[in-house]
Amino acid sequence: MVELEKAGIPTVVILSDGFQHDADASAKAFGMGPIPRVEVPLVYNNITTEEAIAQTDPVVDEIVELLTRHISGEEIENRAIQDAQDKRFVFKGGDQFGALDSFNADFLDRDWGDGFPLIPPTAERVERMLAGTTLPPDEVVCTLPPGNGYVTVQKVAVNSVMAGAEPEHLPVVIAACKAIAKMDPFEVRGLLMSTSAGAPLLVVNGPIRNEIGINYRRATLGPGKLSKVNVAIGRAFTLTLKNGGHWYPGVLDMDTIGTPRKFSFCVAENEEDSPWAPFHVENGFSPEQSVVSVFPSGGEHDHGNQGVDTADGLLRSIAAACPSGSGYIANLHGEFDESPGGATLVFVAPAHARPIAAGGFTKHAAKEFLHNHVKSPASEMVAHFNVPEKVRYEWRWVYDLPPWEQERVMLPGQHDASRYYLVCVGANDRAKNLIIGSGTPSLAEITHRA
Amino acid sequence: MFELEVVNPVSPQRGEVNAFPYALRPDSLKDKVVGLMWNGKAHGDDALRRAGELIKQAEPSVDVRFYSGALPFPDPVRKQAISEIDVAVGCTAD
Repeated sequence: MVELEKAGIPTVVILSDGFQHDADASAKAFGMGPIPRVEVPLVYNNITTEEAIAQTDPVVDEIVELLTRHISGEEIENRAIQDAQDKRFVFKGGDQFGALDSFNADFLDRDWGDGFPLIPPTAERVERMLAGTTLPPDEVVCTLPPGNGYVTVQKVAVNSVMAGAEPEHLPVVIAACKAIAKMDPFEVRGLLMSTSAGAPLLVVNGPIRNEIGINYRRATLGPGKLSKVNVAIGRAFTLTLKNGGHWYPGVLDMDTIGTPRKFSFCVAENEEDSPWAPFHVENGFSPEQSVVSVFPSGGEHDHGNQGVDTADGLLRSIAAACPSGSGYIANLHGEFDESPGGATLVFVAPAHARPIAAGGFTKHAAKEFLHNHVKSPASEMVAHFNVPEKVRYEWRWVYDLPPWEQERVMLPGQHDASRYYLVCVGANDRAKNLIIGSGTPSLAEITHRA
Repeated sequence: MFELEVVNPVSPQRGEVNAFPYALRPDSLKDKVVGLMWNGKAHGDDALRRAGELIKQAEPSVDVRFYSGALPFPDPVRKQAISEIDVAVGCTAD
């Protein structure tokens, strides 16, 4: 709608209660003032056709009025450029702890934190953080989604300080910002703005893992000493997305339930114990390059098995635990969309990856195997996605089948084998894998390390 | 009394840096083409079609057109709408 308004076409949006902040922040992200709207009480997706019509009827006169009444400049002038770079905040207390408490209370009240106590971004600490990169502080790293914030190196540094990160972590966070900024727009909006529990997942490859101590073995996604670097980098990225990308819950992040994956979600590949080429090498980088990949994540599933030790058996076991996506049958991104929909990311533990590889499976072969073994009845797809007008033409036959045949016809879990991503992660002994609903990752090299 | 000075963590948004004015509104919808922009979310189409129906009842000279898209709207659909319509109505739905 913003694009239409920008093109000179007056617009009005019928807005469900609860989405006002989201709509205005989205408009602002693309250069527009408060979105011209009429408001209705219920979310259309949750109600019947009859109820949808009933709540629309009373607002139609207002729609016409908003399409024909000039919107004054007063409504848009409240958007002067803020001197965000130089703004300072002062907090007072009886002693330094009192001032620290005041700072945390204020920043959390503004929703500039994540709920945990923050490290105060004093000018000195930010200066120290900036020493982690050779980039100038005022260089714009990217326009960060979802709110299209102009994020400078200095802003990444400020948020990294608040997260408790160290200067050597800063280039990873900067690269992660660049990666997510170039992610496919449909992918990134679904990831950050949806009512689903999406969260970005950072996967780090290359020499930097060992140089700065990113954990890729035991409990790499867990809290504590072993993964303190992972936690700090992941948290720094989350805070940068919030304050740089305006990824605020209830504003641009409309997650229905939420997920702890949003606090910090950073891992590195266990390249040392993997039988396969590292993920970044698989994607065209050299082993000597350090790279961060930002994966969409929609949930995680712990996968274990007992008494299975053959390559074939292990892959069958993993396949049995993989979800069946329906993204590839829907054209929610428009009739011209040919994207392959969702993906499945499998963190394969080394103790499973090795016998799978020893059994003759290249990573490509393992993906093909998974694609050919992750199947579910068409009835599940229909149950999950029931907007027949938005089913791609090549899959509409599924909706024409009688129910008994929908139970019999098996459909693949993902569009094709390339929609399975395998990354070797975790401890090197007894193996449990982690299966994550995902999408297309975006990769960026980690550069300008001081 | 202890003072703690910290810097601002928030980046300005594109809309704060490059704002554009709202489109000029027509005086009435007489002889105008009204675009109903559906983002694909369930029952948003019901709301839009109903709004179009009532707008047409109130002003029979309008031409109401329905566009089935997504969030964001795919380029081809958006361009087609821009070339065909005078005003637009959208719906969040989800």
